[in-house]
Amino acid sequence: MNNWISRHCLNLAVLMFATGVANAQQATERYIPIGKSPGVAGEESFIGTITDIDYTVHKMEIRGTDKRITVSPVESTRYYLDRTKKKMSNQTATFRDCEVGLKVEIRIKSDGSVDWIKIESG
Amino acid sequence: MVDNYRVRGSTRFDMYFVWRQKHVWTAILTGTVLVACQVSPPMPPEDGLVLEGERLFFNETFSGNGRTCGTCHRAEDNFALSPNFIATLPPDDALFVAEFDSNLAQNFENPRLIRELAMILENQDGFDDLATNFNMRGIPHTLGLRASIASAAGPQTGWSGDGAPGDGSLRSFAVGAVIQHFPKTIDRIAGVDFRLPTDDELDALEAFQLSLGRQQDLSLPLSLKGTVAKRGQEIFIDRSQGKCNACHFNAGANGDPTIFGPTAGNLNFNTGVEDLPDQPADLTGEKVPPDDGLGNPGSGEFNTPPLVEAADTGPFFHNNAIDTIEGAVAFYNGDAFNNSPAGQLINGATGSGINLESTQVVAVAAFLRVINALENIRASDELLDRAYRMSQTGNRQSTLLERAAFEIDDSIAVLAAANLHAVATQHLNEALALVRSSLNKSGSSRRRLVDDARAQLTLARDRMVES
Repeated sequence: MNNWISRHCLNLAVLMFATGVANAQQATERYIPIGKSPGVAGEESFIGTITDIDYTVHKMEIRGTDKRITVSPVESTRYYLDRTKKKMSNQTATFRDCEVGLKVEIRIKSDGSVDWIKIESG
Repeated sequence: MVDNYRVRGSTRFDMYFVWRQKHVWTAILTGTVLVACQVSPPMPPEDGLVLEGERLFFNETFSGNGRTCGTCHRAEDNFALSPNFIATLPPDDALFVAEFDSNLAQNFENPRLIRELAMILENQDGFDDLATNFNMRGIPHTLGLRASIASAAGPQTGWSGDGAPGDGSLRSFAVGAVIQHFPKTIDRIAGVDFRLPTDDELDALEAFQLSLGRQQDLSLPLSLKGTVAKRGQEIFIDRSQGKCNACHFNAGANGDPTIFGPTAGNLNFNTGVEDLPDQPADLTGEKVPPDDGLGNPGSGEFNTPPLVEAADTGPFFHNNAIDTIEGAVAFYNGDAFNNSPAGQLINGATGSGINLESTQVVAVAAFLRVINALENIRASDELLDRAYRMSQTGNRQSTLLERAAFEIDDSIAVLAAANLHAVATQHLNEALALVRSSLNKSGSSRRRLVDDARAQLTLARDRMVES
């Protein structure tokens, strides 16, 4: 490595890590129905029915086909109301739209936090 | 708004600097180096999956408004779209769907900006406020993707690296494109306004896109013969002058691995393009909100495009702000770049910003024109070879010959616009005439003309670079 690189390698490497975050697009995810997100559905997401929910501590339990999980959404978690089966446009939603008995798909990021929750419109 | 955007970008950068510094060294010391996203190895160009992907790319509307991937990524226009090409399209072309379909008349496209500046509307930051929350962006080409979208943090697609929903991969990109650009109405209901691509279709579309253009980066320096282009290459690489090679390593889309690490790949930067005064879109008086780039809210960062394909794929930058390759090089001399986070980083790292004299700007541009023409020649020769090597049927052969003609035509335009390599250009003109003649022939007559065209391409190339 020449002097230029050795002096500034760290600075530039830092920029790389600071800016090189390849994100999935958030906007169009809203219109993808539950279970259809490419590369996510069945691999990085969990689909099930809400069996219990606590709105005060932002926690809910979901029962899938062979297991049960408890999730606690974070501030950055995005919510989508999937109204595709009703042939209506999907909408953005909030934790308050989650209700016991509704089908949901939850994408969990590699750090364990909840990226998004799709809620099937009741 | 622009001022706030600048301050926010700088603050975020500074915070990351401190935070990431710790984590970079932690990663290095523990050996947990990030692994670059790997894409599948090159496959034969006429592989069945690639051919199916090509069919889908140009013909499949996904039950939407009539657009296909090829509506905006035209084979005749380097898999991108320019105002000059748009001017040749009929009024009922699906590109103009917002002009003749009342369901898409509002908040779907800006017809004036499509026609004048080849800018497409994107709702990168969400669909909740369609009237005010949108970006107007140019259409990037899809050439050389195999060598330009991998990064340490995952695939980088679209102008800001976050163009694909789902897992963010090139394979998933088509799903987002269908939702954004193909719907019959802005309700965007799956199964009503469009259908989602199947897994098999996504596989095929990915394979086709990865087959386009270069499959690997150049290895600079090239033994160029043109005096000005050769000097331009020196400036391009020189870390005290052009400094271009740091972020456009080997004139591609990836960071220099000796600076950014072996797996860095494609990187995002805030280069200040949004801060340019007198952007053409703004001058029209049309509503063009500031584009905040990666994420929501955005970081102001956009990803690094490959430069080998640049000279014939203008206008340049995410907002089509500059029309000529000379202007695009000169951008890095200006305040917008040198005051940007990326410009400040270069300044801090090298002790100065970028300050090229006009002759040097032209020299770097000449270098970019020449490597673009060389890539056109390589691509056209490959297409001509493929037309025969694969025992193609008549129609398929003609398609490949036509695409070769587009490439040759581009190489002529790119060189002639700057008076570069006049003799090579004569050979290219001859090659183009031969390929066009071959389209009216068949059998051995066609073959002979194609062989002669390939010989002319070789002569042209030999005029430009040492073998």
